[in-house]
Amino acid sequence: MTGLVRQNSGAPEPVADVGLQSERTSIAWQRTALTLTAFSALMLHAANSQRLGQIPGAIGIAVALWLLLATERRYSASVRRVREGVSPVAAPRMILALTLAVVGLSGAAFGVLLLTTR
Amino acid sequence: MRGIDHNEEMSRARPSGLRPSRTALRDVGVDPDYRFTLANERTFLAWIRTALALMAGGVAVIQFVPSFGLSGARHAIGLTLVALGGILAAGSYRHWDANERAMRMGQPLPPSLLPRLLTASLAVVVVAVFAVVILESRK
Repeated sequence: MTGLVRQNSGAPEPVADVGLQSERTSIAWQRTALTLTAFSALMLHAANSQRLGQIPGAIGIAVALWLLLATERRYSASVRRVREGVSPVAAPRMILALTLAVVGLSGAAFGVLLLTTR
Repeated sequence: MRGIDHNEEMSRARPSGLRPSRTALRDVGVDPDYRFTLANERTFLAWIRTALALMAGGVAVIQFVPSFGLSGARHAIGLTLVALGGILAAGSYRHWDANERAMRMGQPLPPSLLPRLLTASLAVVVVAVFAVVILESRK
């Protein structure tokens, strides 16, 4: 991933990732996706191998995987856009998907904890 | 002629996320310095990780901590943490959206109630845990 970042060699061309903004954002996404995976795994564990209870955890892991892939794509696109002098844009779809996954997992965890452990 | 063009442009406005009636982010103002957009995004991600950590704590309290003598104390603490995580996640999305819109319009960033909510809730949880531990040790 870091291979895409150009050296600041004092050349007149713009540096592709000033302050490594895109890279920092990208690894923040990776960190978050890993945290989401960890919590989803915890939910799978809490479901006690009941099919219905495993659904939220499975969805969480699927969203985390998609986010990891989308982050890679977005990182390359951001670096390319900066190099071309175009502003990289926000990622509202990734942000909305992550929010929905976490809010959904919170509701699911609430339900699972109420129902399964007494 | 110009009026027609304008109308066409209006009808092409993209629907926004969960609320189609709202103007899409890209159609508000102008693109800010992309570093600010990315910084806003990282702040959102930090909040999401905080929310996930609280939720994991809530599940762990109920599933892995031995039951206290007080019935329901574990559940009250765990469920509070899980719900707090969900509320923070939803709140951090709202705040990210509001920040992004403000930056695109060149306006000052809106204040956030999330730090206050997190601090107050954690204070309540800590006091509750403390009370449970004290009551337990007196038995």
